[in-house]
Parts: sequence; structure tokens; C-alpha cells
Amino acid sequence: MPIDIPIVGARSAVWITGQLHLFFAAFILGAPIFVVICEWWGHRSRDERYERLAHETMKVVLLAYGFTAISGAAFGFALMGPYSDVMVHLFEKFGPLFGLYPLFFLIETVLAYLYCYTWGPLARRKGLHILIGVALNVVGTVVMLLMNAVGAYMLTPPASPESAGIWELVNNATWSGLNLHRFVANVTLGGFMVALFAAFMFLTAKTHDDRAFYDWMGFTGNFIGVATLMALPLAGYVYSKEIFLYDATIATFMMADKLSWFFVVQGLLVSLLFLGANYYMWVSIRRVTGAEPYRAYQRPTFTVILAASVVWMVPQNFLPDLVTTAPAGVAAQDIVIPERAAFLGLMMAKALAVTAIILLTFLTYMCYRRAIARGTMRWGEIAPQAQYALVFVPAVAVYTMGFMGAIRELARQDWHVYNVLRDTTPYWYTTPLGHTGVMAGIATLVFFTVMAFIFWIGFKLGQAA
Amino acid sequence: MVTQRERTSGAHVHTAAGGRAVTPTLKRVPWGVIALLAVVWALPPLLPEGFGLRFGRAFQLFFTAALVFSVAVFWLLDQEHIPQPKSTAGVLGSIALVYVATVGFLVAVAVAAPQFALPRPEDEVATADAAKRGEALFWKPEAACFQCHTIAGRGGTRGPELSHAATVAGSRVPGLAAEQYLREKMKGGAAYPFKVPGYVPMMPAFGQSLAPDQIDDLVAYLLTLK
Repeated sequence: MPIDIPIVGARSAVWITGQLHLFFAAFILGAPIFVVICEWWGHRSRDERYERLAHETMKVVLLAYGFTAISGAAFGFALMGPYSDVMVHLFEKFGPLFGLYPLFFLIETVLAYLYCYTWGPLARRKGLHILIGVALNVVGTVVMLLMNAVGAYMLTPPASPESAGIWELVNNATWSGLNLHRFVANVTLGGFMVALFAAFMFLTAKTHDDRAFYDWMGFTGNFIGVATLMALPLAGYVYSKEIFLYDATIATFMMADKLSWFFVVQGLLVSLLFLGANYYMWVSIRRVTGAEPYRAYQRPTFTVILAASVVWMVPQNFLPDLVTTAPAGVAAQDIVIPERAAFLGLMMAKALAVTAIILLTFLTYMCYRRAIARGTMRWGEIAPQAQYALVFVPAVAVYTMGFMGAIRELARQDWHVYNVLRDTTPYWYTTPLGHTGVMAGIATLVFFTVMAFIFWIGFKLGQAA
Repeated sequence: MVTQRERTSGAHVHTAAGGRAVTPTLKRVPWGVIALLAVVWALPPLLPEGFGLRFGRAFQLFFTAALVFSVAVFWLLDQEHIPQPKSTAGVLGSIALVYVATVGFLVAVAVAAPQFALPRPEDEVATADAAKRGEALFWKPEAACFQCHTIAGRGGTRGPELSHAATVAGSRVPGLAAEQYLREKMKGGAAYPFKVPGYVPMMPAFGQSLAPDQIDDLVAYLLTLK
């Protein structure tokens, strides 16, 4: 290693800055998709709330652009010295891409400012304004695809990278899977972050009109988040399948060896996301006059979701990897799942459990729709705990992104580029679950702190002005 | 407007519209939870050893934690209207508290889960003994043979067990000695013509990723496993 970063170490510095950059990038890529859909829907339905929601959210997105660039620069600096060999390798392979990336990022930024600041001037030419928003999202997605190519290449490079052309390097075995997974996850994050802002605004609102608006905004954000969240496990399966087909030993390392317990924790994280989103819906349905009959389904729904979550999380054993044996004094059968219950540890059982959770979430939403159709929604009269659920869900969502991102990176084992460029630094090893959890936790808390600042500037001060 | 809903158990929950806090009565005995706890803790020791359903202590604790968590979820669902801070600072503080507590819980779970040990410098084997070098390589991520093969109860099960590799390898392909078979199979992986029955052919061709002397070391090690 040519140079290390003092105190925190090069790996931790790259980890935190890279993760923060990805969090901000996910937000500025996901939220505008949400914003344009809201603007279009508001224009079509003549519902001014969508217009307000879209405009207020876009102001916050614009503020987040600066932090995306700052964290990106910090990430680049952290990579330059300690990991110069990796950077040289990637620049050699993806030279044209690293030229296109800043160009598209510049176009994206220009479009973002144009979109936000022409909101008033183009109020009478809504079609043109929405078109700018669509262009912003198209360019933003291209930026994501470019960098996903580099990330995917590091895990699944083509068989002969020396002779591979640029398209072969870009269109590697997991590029499409990663694109799909990240695109859906970004929209999910955008929805949940909007719901988080709405929760804060609702809890501090002074007038009933404001409470009604932010109650509705939280509902809409959560709806978008949950609707896309339901597609995420499927996108995850597609991505995992691509990894498995590329090299089964990576899949073994992930599902059976050192990362196996990471996936037990992943089961907990995704279960918590669904539980939080369902909790919000079942608490908020109480503000619909005439929805009382539907509350009879609340307990059975949660019973099934909780049972399915347990099935998803049941481990095959309590051993951290394939080479660790049972501690002294503990019999192997005490920490290995009994024979008759072994099916609970298999993928088939996990897949059924996930399907049950998704299905129940969908049915909850259908109950909600029916209740609204038959009764009267009293916007603004939602119980405060529902708003705290909208705080809980993004916290879990952001942590999950950081944690799952770490799994993807750790899957390369002791390689910078799998089977091509070996990691010979002192940080070549796979970090244990606890270390990984702490790092994901730090990144999540820093992101939240910065977002709280952005949000305060964008919503509170913006409103006062 | 106040609505009232009667549960099948006889307890009453009052729903107040417009933000009035109402506390649910807690008269019910959670028989379901008690029964499940009894199943988790009392049932396994009563089952015969060979029945195959004796959950160990770690699993009992796991299911108990899941039950406690589930009770907490249902308790939260029963709350009609929790109070909220009045001031902006109070709201911001409460949101930060929920956020930090959530992330703290998730980190605590990750820390409490089983942890594998970090590699130690002394694990690097500098020996003239080829079999010892091969043994070290077998368990290192560089070759990662252990991910799919078991030796003496350790390792994965996707590939054939190798505890008696030296004995079994000689009988795989007629006319091919154990050493030759192991070397060729290791080099060719799934592409090698002979597939072990009952296993999906997925072995990587290590001839492309390991040096010839590393394959020699691995073969030397496997030949000691009689």
C-alpha cells in the first residue's frame, strides 16, 4: 500500500465517504423520479397538493446535490493515495467512461437547477416543465448506469479483461442486475425520505391545513416507497442469480460461508421495513371514518408477517462461517438446526416467507383503498406514532442500503477486481459482521445528520422566507 | 366522535378522533404467548433424541427474542394515540431519538451475531512440507476449497466430502491413480470429463487461477487424507 490514511485507516475512510456518496446519489436520483410523477399527476388531476409536494421536495433535492459532489470528491481523494493501483487499473479499463461521467453529471446538475428554478416561470407551460424533469431523470439514470458498470465489473469482470472491449467490460455479468436493483431501491429511498420530511413537518405544524397537507404527503411518500419496496426482493433475486451464474463460489461465500449471517441480518432488515410500512398503514387507517370493520384484519395480518419474518431469519446454524467449529463446552447439535426443521433454513422456505410478506402488504393496501372508497379520510388527524413509523422506516432503509452495499463489496473477498487484481493491502480481509454493522451504522447516522441540516434549510428556512 | 370496538377477548379499546390520548386496558392474559414460550422451552427436552426436532439453546433464545419482539409490535398496535412533544426542538429530539435507537438496535444485532475471526499473521505457513502448505491453502480464501468441500466435519457441502480423498480418488476413473485424478480434476474443474454423481458440476477450473506449485501442494495434502 503506497500510503495509508492516519487514525481511521484507508479502508474505513473509503468505506464511509463512498457510502455517503452513494446515499446522497441514491436520494438525488430517486427523489426526482418521484417528483416528476407527482408533478405530472398533479397537473393531470388538478390536485394542487401534488404540485406543492413536488416543488418542496425538489428544493431539498437541489440542496443535496452539493453534498453529493462533496462526498464524491472526498471518496475520490480517499481512493487516490492508498488505492492508486486500483484507480490506475480502472482508468485503464474504463477511460472513456470516466470522461463521460463528469460530463453527464454536469448536464444533470444544469437540468436539476433549470427544473427547480423554472417552476414558476413555466407554470403556464407545464408540459415543457415536465419534459425538463423527465430529461433530468434520463440523464441521472445514465450517470447511475455508468458508475454501476465500474462497480459491477469489480465483482464480475469478463473472462479475459485484457482483451475485452469497452462494451464487454461495461455489459459484464451483473451490470443489468445491479442497474435494476439500484433503480428500484433509489425510488424506494426517495419515497421514504419524502415521508420522513413529511413526518417532521406534520409533527411541528401549527395549523390544521398544514397538518392535513403533510399527513397526505407522508401517506404518498410511504405509498411510493412501499409500492417499489415490494419489487425489491425480486430484483435482489435477479441480481443474486446473475452472481451465482457468473461464479458459484461467490454465491457459496455469500450464502453459506462468511457472509451467511449477513443474510440472516438482511432478513431482519427487510422484515423491519415491511413491518414499519404496514404499521404505518394500519395506524393511519384509523383516521378513515367507517374503516372500523377493516381493523379486524390487523392482528391476523401482523401475525402472518411476523411468522414469515421469523422463517426468513431462522439460520441453519449459529456458526459464523464454514471453518469455525462449536465453542468448547457447546455440542454441535445445540447450534445446528434440528433435522426435521432443516427445511426452514433452505431458500425455498425463505422465498415463501418473503412472498407471504409481500402478499400481506399488498392486501393491507387493498384494505386501505376500500376503506377510503367507502369512508371519509380525515387528513391531519393521524396518530403521532404513525409519523414516528415514517421516521423508523427510512432509518432502516438507509442502514439496509449501507449494509447490503457492504455485502456486495465483501463478496469480492481478497480481490479489488475479482480474479484480476488482488488486494494486497493490510485491509485485504473480509470484515466480520459486527465491524460491518458498526460501519453501516456510522454512515447512516452521518447521512441523517446532514439530511436533517438540508431539510431544515430547505423546508423550514425556505418556508419562513 | 368516539367509537368503541369490542375484541373477542372481552377487552375494550377506545378510539378517540381528533388526537385525544386513550389508554387501552390490559386485562387479557397473553395465553398464546405463554403457550408458545412453553413450546419453545419445555417441549424440546421432552422429545426423543432421534425425533430430529430438538432445538438447541441458541435456537430457543432466538425464538424467544422473536416472541418478545412480536409482543412489542402488538403492544404498539394497541396504542391509540401516543403523546408528542409540543416544541419544535422536542419534536426534532424525539425524531433523532427514534433514528438513533433504530440504528443502535441494528448495530447491536450485528455485533451480537456470531463473528468469524480475523486472519492472523501466524496463519501464514512458511514450511518446506508441501502437504502442510497445501492444507493451509485449502482453508484460505485464495483457493477457498473449504467453501464447497468438507474435511473432518468442517467446510461446505456443495461438493463431495474430502475426508478420505486419497482413498476415494483412486477409484473415480478406471486406470487413473489418485494423484493424477486429483490434479486433473483440480485443474479442469467442472470441465473435467468425470463428474461426481449426485453433485451439480460447478467446480471452477483452478488451473487458471492457482500456480502449478500451489496445485502440487493441494494434491500433496489431499493424498494424506486416507
